[in-house]
Amino acid sequence: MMARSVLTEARQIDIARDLIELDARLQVLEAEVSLSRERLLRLYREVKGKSPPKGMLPFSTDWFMTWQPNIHSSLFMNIYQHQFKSSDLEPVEALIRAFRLYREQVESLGMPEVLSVTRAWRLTRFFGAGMLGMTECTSCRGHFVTHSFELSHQYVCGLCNMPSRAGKTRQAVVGREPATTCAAF
Amino acid sequence: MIDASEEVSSVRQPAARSAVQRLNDEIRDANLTYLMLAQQLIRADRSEALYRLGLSGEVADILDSLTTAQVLRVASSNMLLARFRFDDSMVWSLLASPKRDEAPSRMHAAILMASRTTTESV
Repeated sequence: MMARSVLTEARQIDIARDLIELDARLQVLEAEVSLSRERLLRLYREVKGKSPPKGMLPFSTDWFMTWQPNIHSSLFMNIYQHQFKSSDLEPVEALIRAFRLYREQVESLGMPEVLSVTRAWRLTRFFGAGMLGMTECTSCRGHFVTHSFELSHQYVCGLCNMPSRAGKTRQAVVGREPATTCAAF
Repeated sequence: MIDASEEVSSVRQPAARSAVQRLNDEIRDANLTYLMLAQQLIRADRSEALYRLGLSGEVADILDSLTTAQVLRVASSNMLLARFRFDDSMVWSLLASPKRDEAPSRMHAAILMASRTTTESV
């Protein structure tokens, strides 16, 4: 049998480069693209001019439930689901496009970018595994990220029912300047 | 509207006509701008265009297939082709009403608009 197609490989490199440019972690690349670890490392260094950060990925669904991450995740997920359903895109392509649109939206609102592409990828995985889902707010009818098994018939979103200190973290205050907006990853 | 102006129209017909003409020209220009922008977005990146424009795939394909001559013909109408995508008062009040801290309400509006787009146009 022939070795794998050069065109497919070129496509894979394109996807990997897009993900690296959006600051995806190496684990995301390894999961989404069938290139060897060595090639991904080389590609990463070529695109970013440095080695990828090491360490484990975040794995908790609870992060997506806290106030500020929840609204950012909800915005991203709405865009992602639209991208995924409206064309025949691969999930990873929908992720890339949706993340770019999310970033553009958040930038135009002058807000810090709370969701990283790695978190966004994790979020789509949690949806795929049925651990997280979308629930319609009974007050504003917007769709928000929630735990799948939560009682949801009386759900009111964090924006209709804002906690008193919502978004008043040190990071949010400092984050008014775009330079310091990037979360840990 | 028409019967009210009909009695006067015999007296100041030229002026009245040019006002209507001007209005139609403006509508045509708006239609033309919209159609050209939509075509440009659809051709650059279809899935992104569907999100930005809030169009269904079928409508996007129709717009994409229009020739320049057809675009001109379609645009010359006395009716505006594009209409508001968001018809609930929640979105409008979030966008329009001034708040002490604007960021959360603008974010709220963005989520609502994205939610509507996801549920309606797919």
